[in-house]
Amino acid sequence: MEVFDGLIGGFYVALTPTNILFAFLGCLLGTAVGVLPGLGPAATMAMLLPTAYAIGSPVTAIILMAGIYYGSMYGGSTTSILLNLPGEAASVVTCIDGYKMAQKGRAGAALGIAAIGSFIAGTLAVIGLTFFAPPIAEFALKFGPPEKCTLALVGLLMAVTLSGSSVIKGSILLVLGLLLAAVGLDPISGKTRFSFGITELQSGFDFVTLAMGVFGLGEIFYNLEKTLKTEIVTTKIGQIFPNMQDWARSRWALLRGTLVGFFIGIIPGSGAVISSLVSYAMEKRVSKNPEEFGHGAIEGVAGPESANNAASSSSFIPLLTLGIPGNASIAMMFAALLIKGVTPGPFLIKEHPDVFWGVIASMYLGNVMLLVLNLPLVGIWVQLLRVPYRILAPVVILFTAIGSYSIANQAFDIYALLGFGILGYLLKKLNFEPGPLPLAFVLGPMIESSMRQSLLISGGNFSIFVTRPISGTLIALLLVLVISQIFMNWRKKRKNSSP
Amino acid sequence: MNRFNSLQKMEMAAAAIVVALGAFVALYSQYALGLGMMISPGAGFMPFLMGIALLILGACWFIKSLFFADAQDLAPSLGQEGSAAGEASPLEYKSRKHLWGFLVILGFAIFIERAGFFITTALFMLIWQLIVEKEKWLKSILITLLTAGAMYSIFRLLLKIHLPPGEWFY
Repeated sequence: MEVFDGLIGGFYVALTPTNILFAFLGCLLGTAVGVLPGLGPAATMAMLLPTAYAIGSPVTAIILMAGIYYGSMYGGSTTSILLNLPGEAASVVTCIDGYKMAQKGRAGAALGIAAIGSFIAGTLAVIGLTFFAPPIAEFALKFGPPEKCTLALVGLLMAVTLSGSSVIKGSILLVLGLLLAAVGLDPISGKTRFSFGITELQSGFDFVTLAMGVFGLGEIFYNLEKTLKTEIVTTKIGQIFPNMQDWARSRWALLRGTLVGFFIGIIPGSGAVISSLVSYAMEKRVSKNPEEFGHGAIEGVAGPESANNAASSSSFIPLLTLGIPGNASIAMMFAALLIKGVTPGPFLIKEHPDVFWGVIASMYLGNVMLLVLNLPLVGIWVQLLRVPYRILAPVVILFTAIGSYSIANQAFDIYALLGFGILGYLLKKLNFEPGPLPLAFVLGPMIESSMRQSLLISGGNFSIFVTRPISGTLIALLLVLVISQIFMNWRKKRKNSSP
Repeated sequence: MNRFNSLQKMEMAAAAIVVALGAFVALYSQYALGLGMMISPGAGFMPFLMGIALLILGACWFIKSLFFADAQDLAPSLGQEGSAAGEASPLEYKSRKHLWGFLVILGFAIFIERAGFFITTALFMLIWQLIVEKEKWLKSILITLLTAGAMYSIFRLLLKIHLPPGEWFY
């Protein structure tokens, strides 16, 4: 009953005019950035972080951010289907069959099943989030400093291992993120670290500047170099609602995609991208006509689109219950909550039930808003692609620069932003997946303080991290994951090298 | 094979920088910050561990780039739009707009407190449209005025964020 009471309370919070407006704004912005290639949800949320200072309530700030995050999953499918151009990474796999369907004159059915599948998956995943989150938060209350430290480190290492890019490169970013978090005043000894006499560095780098630089500016620099061209859409969309045969073929794909997405989304680092890939592979495997995949099979759109939406909803579970952001976009929400003086984690449900239940309730509303925004208005969203990059790019740069300046009213933050922008650009050039950097940066202070507290408890003995049951189990899980990943990579390489 | 040489060089140079950074961080943490004792770690303890980790990871990256670099690892860095075959090296680029972008933002940082928000924003947009995008004067001025006005409305009027009025004028 506690869950229902909490949820009713959440609806009271989410249904205030201000929160409805911000949820709508978030969904609108999210769909827009999902449609626009070259501007991801993490970059948009990073740009909007300074507005979190201006928005009065933490619930409103997180409702806005959440709307952008799951809204981008809806919008991402539009350009994948119509232009073979994924608006964001999780929609890459939708291109395969969605674009083929569009070429065969069935763009409407593909867009329709993507939007309806996203709605069903998003809603089911939020129901799952409603019931799974409270017991996990309850369990996490037992965590002491060694468990907190191990959980954060294991979460980060999982994010690196499962991100799909190089483990060495991901680990370098993880360490770099922890180091950047250490810049400034050491809270225990009071010593200033790595400030080299620069007064502005004594308080350390701000997360907003780092996120906007690496994701916003870095992406813009990278795209400017490539001279992105805006394509004019000519594809005919046609009938939006799928026919009975489409339904019959898609219904189980939708449910399987939802389940796959929900469970994969909980694991840090995997999230929407991996869940859509796994769902596509699964649909192809269980299909009676696997040869149709790659030639316009509707299950190839329904499964992955459901999976990425379910994953985006379930990725809130580790944030709201354990205080561990699983991906860069969720890290932005973590930062937004910290800016508003709310620490995500097991105490959130007790100390800030309005935030915990308010954001969950707003997700139910958001999914309905997104269905309305995406199905009848798909033609309008496609027209957004006509906005030229020559206007979009400087506007985004101005947003990030003014946003950085406004944090502490000092030009130094714009220089830092530029530095992080160059770092973000170089990371893209060197094929780094930048996600672990902001994750490590936001978790850095917690990892360091809990590690130092743990060593104090154990009298300087590192074995405390292995001998305590919860942290020992977490380390064992990580080892299993790393070993299985190494084995899978080895098998893949062997398969590729064999004639 | 030649195509990968420049990529490998770029990766190796970056790996060497990571190694040097790791060594510097470890030494700085030990001598300038202090490691403390195991029971009560000092301000340099965690950064020292991170420095050592960077050093090891950088060395692994260097060795991997030198001996085990393969097309699969390097190809995606060429950009999303093409396959590996026939693409230019990432050291070459199709447009210099990103370099202009860098300079214009640097200018923005230098002038925002001196010239104030509105003039700096307008100048940024005008320079961008005229020099970076090579737009015509009339169109550039129109875009500039609209953007600067919209930015002022959003940040100052809507979000009530303090924006510098400019030292030169006050």
